[in-house]
Formats: sequence, C-alpha cells, structure tokens
Amino acid sequence: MRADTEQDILKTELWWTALVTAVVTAIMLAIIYAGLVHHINPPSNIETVDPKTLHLTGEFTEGNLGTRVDGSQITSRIVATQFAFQPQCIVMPANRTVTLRFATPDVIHGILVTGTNVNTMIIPGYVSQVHTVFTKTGDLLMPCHEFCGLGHSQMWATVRVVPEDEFKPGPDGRVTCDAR
Amino acid sequence: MTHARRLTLAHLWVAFAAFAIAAVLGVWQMWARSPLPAPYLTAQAYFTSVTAHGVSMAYVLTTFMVMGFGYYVAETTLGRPLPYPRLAWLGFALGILGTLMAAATIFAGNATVLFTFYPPLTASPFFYIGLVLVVVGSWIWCGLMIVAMLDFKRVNPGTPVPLAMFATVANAVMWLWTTVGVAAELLFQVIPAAFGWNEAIDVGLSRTLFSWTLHAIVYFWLIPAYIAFYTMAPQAAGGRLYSDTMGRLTFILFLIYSLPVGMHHLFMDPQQSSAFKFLQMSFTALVAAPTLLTVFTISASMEIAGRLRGGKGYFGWIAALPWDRPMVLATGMAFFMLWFGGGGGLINMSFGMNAMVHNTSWVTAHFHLIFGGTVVIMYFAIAYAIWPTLTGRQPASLRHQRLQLWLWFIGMMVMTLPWHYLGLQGQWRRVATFNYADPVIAGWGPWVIVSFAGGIILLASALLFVWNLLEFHRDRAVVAPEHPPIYALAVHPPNRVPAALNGFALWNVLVLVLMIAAYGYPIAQFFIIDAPEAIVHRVTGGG
Amino acid sequence: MALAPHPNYSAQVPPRVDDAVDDVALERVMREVPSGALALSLLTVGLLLLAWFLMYAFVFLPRGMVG
Ligand code: HEM
Ligand SMILES: [Cu+2]
Ligand SMILES: [Cu+2]
Repeated sequence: MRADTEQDILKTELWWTALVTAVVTAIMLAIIYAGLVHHINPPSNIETVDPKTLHLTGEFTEGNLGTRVDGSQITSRIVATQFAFQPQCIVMPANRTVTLRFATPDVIHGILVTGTNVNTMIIPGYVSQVHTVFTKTGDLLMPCHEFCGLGHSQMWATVRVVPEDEFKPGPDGRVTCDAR
Repeated sequence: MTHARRLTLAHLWVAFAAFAIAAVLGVWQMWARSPLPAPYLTAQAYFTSVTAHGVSMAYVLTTFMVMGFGYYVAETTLGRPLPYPRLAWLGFALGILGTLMAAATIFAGNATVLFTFYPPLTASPFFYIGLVLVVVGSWIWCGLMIVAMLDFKRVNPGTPVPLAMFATVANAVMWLWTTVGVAAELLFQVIPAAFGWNEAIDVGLSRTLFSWTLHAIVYFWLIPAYIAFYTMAPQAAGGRLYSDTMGRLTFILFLIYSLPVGMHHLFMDPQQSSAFKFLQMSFTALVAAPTLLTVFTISASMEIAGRLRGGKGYFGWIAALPWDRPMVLATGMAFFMLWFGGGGGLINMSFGMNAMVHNTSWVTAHFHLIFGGTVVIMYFAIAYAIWPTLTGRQPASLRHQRLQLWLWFIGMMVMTLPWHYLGLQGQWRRVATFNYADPVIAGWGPWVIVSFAGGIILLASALLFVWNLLEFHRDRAVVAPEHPPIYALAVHPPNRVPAALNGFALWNVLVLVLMIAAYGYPIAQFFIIDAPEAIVHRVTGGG
Repeated sequence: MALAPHPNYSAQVPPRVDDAVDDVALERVMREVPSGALALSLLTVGLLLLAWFLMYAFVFLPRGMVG
C-alpha cells in the first residue's frame, strides 16, 4: 500500500470502509432473518386505549383480566399499576402460541420475563401486545422494568408455565393460578 | 492567564466536582442493590441518589467538559482570542445557576424522576427549569464556537480549519439539532404539566421527542474523546495522524447519523411502528461506520509512532509505544473498553435482539463501559494534557496519573462484566433493593458483590483523579513548559480542503432531510391518531 | 483586553509544519504503515463479529419467538 499522497491513504481507507460495510450488512441480514423466519420482532401494534376509562369499560376491566382461552386463542390480559400487576400471577401452557396484552391507567411501566425474549414497554394510552411460545415450565419472574415511582422495586408478577396437558381452562375459558 | 484559559479552568473544575460527588453516590447505589445491608437505604433515598448520579454524570460533567474543552480548542488552534468572552461567562453562569437549581430540587426530594424524567411522572418545575438553563448556557457556547470558526475563515480565506476546531464546531452544530427534541418536550409538554397548567399529557409524543435527543446526546459527550484520539494521541505517542481527511469525514458522519437514529431507544415501545423502527435501525447501523473508521485510522496513526520508535512486524509496534504517557495509556484502554461497549451496543441496536437486553443491567453495563469508560477515561487524559498549560505547573512524576488510569480501567471492567451477565439473566435496572429471598434472584448475589467491588475501585480512582488535579495547583509542582505541543500533525497536512470538508452548510441540509424522513411521520402520527393522554402524576412534596 | 496569539501552538496559522518526527524516518515507516493497523483492526473487528454471532445464535435465537 502506498502513502505518498493523501489520495493514496484514502484509497486504503476506502478498502477498510468496504470491509466495515460488509460486517454491518452481515449483521443486518441476520436481523432480517430473525424477524422473518423466527418471528422475533419488536412489539409495535400502535393500538390506543384511554387510560382514564381503562378499568371502567372494555377489555381491561377487572373481571376480564388473566388468562383466557377462546377457541384456539390463548390470551392473558394484565394491567400494570403503581405498584402492582393485576393479576399478580398468570398461567400459561408450554409450547403453545400465546398472546400477552398489557395496559396501564397511570404511568409508564415495562415488563420482561426472565430467560425469554418477552419484553415490552407499557405506555399509558396504548395496549402493548406480545406473542410468544414458552418452552420451559416453571415459575418465571416478570418484573416491572421501567421506573414508575418509589414502589417500583416491589413491582413484579409471576408467569407460571405448565405442561400442555396440565393446562385446563374452566367452563368460562379461564385459567388462574389459585385454581391450581 | 488568558480569558479562554480561565473559562476552561472554571468549566473543568465544575465538571469534575460534579463527577466526584456522583461517583460517591454511584458506589452507595451499588451497595444498596447488593445483598449486603447498606446504610440510609430507603426507596426515596435510592431514587434521589440515582437521579442525582444520572444528572451529574450525564448532564453536568459532560456539558461543562465539552464547553470548557471547546474554549480551549478554539483559542489554541485558531490562534485568535475568543470572541465575546463576556457571553461565554454568561453561559457559564446560566449553567451554574441551572445546576444548583436542579440539585436543590433533587436533594429536597422533589425530583425523584431520574435523569430521563419520563412523564406522566413529573417533578417540581424548578428541576426542569434548571436543566433548561444548563442547555441555554450550552447554546451560547455553540454560538461562540460557530462565530469563532467563521471569524477564522474570514481572516484566513482558504486555510483549512484545524481538525480539532472543525470537530468542536461539528459538535456544536450537532448539539443545536440534538436539543430541539427535548426542548420541545420540556417547553410544550412537561413544564406546563409540572406547573399544574395541564392535567394530562401525551406520553407517546413525549417519548418520541425525547428519543430525538437521546442518541445524539451521547455523541455530544463522546466527541471530546474522539478529538483527543485524532488530534492529541498521535502527538503524545510521537507520531502523526494517518489521515486528516478521514478525521473530517468521521465528524461529519457523526453530525449526520447520530440524529435520525434515536428511535432505537423505542424498539420495545408500543406507539411506534416496525417500519420506522427498522428505518432508524438501518441508520443506526450506519453510525457504526465512523467508529470503525476511527479504529483503523487511529491504529494506523499509533502504528506510525510505534514504528518510528523501532517497533517491527504486524504487532511489534504496539509494544514499542510509549505507554508511560497518560494520553497513550488512556487511548489504549479506551479502545479496549470500546470493544466491549461497542459490541454490547451492536447487540442493543439489533432490532428484535433488543428484547433480550432492554432495560436490564446489560444496558447499564453498556453505557458505563462506553461512556463512563471510553469517554471519561479520555476526559481524564485531556485534563492531564491541558492542565499544565492552565496553571503553568505539573507534578514531577506521572506515576499517580498512570495509577489512576489503571484503577479506572480495572474498576470499570470488574463492575461491568458481571452486570452484562446479570442483565442476560434478567436482572432489571433502576431498582433500589432486590428480593434475594427469591430463588431466581438469590443466584445473582455473588455477581452483584463482584460488581460492587469494581465500583469501590472506581471510587478510589475518582478520588485520586481529583487529588492529581490539585497537584497541578500546588507550589511544589514543577514549572511546566509554556507551549508544549498538544495537537498532532497529519502525515500529509492539508493545504486546502474542499468547502464541504471545511464547513457545515451543506451537511445541515442533509440533516434536515434525514430528520424529516426519520421523525416527520412518527411525530405527526400523534396528531393524526388523536392519541389518548395520560393523567399527570406529580412527585413533588417528597411523596 | 487584547490577547496575544500563542505562536508555538501546534495547529497554528499558518499550520505548524514541524514536530519531533524526522521526515526521512517517516517516509521509511510509511512503507509499512498501515499493515499493522490493518492486522489489528481486522483481528478486533473479526472477533467483534464473531462475538455478535455467538450471542445471536446461542443466546438470542434459543430464547424464542416474540412479536
Ligand atoms: C464510581 C463509579 C460509578 C459507579 C459505582 C456507578 C454506579 C451506578 C449505579 C449503581 C447506577 C444505578 C443502576 C440502577 O439503579 O439501575 C448507575 C446509574 C447511572 N450511571 Fe453510574 N456509576 C459510576 C460512574 C458513572 C460514570 C462515570 C458515568 C458517566 C459519565 C455514569 C453514568 C450513569 C448514568 C447515566 C446512570 C443512569 C441513571 C438512571 O438509570 O437513571 N456513572 N451508576
Ligand atoms: Cu416500575
Ligand atoms: Cu442511542
């Protein structure tokens, strides 16, 4: 490689730039692959809900929370408030596609489920929705992971993943932690 | 001492005083989160402390460092007196006033909202007004840097603006763009809510506006470190900068690509679409380019120095470098930490992969490594390099400076490697106490204690740093040479450079276009979909 | 207050053209530069890419589908 002039040096730098571009492109392709083939994408449903009336009408009223089976759909609805989840424990079957739906009447919260890719912010005004398949059975920790006030450190819930054959909805299609 | 020197000294002392206080708080936080019983621990105390730590480190240390170093660079590279020094002091005064206002509200317990202050949690209005004053002070700095460069160009037509100044002005221009997002959020949404004029607030909009600022602000903090890499480290090592042109291009790329990428902080948010998240992720991938270019250009510059000192072969030049000089040592450590911190960053920005780490200790580890590590260790090196020219004195031996850098480097690695691991296990951020009785959490305890030990080493380093700065002011220190060479020459020093590499007019147009593409609809959508508002929750009153 | 410029500052106007570097020596080492820098950057960026893919394949993908 020559370095007699600045132009010579820039030629070398151009080769390096090409290599850097290749590295970044490889990463981008892997990300697209994970999104399209493995269906790992950020939660982005832009679905609004009014925080002021959340608990009064509609999907997130108290009687409708927790896990419910509706045909082949398994959905769990959870409300995040300062400083607790409602319900504090949800039951989910292993190896089935399930849907988690979250909303909050007050401030920003967020959740993750330890050891999985389940992760979303919970923003007042929006429903956060995550589809996933739990593969390991047992009690997983689901903490609130965004600062929501002084009680934030005490805010967590449990995701109880049970083997598929132990997942038995009641006549109303509901499954709760207490019932087990 | 000239005006600019006095300004620099004043700004840097404020920066490092805030840093030292925040370091003490940081160690106490590590203690609180560990299984060991910490004193004074309540939720109120913890979140007061984290707010103070975040604000001091992210806003006070950085802003005053950038400003103080900018005044120094302007005077020393342009060889002209600083324009309007009185305005510069006004900016300083606004910064001090704002800092004191914010600090008073935080320590009174009226601003436990953390340095990101996500609404609808709202603090006392004086917290936000304090932050706004600091930003307004920094805007004055931006204006002065731009004027200083234009004056220089007028008097020296055709002469390239020296690289260190070119980079400083790139940062000033970028900062003006950067602060638009948070300024809009504060002035139109948060401050009216804090005063009680509004009872509801559009949180999706406020998060989107904050994200506008959130990525570019880290480049605002970072650019002094890059200025040191390009213009100071090659000189300290006894070499030359491999390419002046690449330096200019790097800082231009930072200006362009650090702005339309902030939505990578909103990957896990429900109020933005995958399409715009993906678009901004793609731009984020592009912003990796200037850093990877820097890795090569600076390696080549150091290689020149190492070979001039007799280093041979593919790697022999590394051992031949003068590692006993603080600037060289810090540069090596900074790049080492950049490998881990940058690698973590590549994972954070990877769209769906963000779900694996979002809001866990992994993120805390990532930014402590790259910001507290790579960037701040270069702040130390810059301070050691320029302080002798500020006080005219320097310690007889550099031993304590080297020791301080080593402690910082080791402490940072010991603190952040376990944090990365814990993040992957699901340990989440911003928690005062963990329930170590929980079987999942119990296993984390030993790792938390190791990272706490790293924090203690960091505190030792921080205190030694302040001690080392005081050494420059002592009578027993020896007289420093009056004009030590600070900035490196390039292998081929530029005689003329194209206008595009000597100013920012063209690049501003490009930034505008990219920002409209990246943020136009994501902001407009909140007015189109008529997003529901959240009820304001005030934390004022210690409650 | 008029301030005297600092004539010895490195990036002075006109730019400083001398430093401790000897031109002949520089020309000699520039025949080898940047072979070492390329080796080092290739190694570190290669390891970086490797580390990313290890995390991707062995931690991220096994954690399963979400979206
Ligand atoms: C003595 C060295 C340091 C220690 C022991 C330390 C420790 C900590 C701890 C324990 C937290 C809180 C983590 C949590 O609750 O999730 C934290 C947060 C933070 N630190 Fe540090 N830190 C140190 C130095 C630094 C430096 C040098 C910087 C940057 C210049 C920095 C910037 C931050 C920021 C921005 C936060 C985030 C605050 C938030 O989550 O709101 N820290 N640090
Ligand atoms: Cu919370
Ligand atoms: Cu960012």
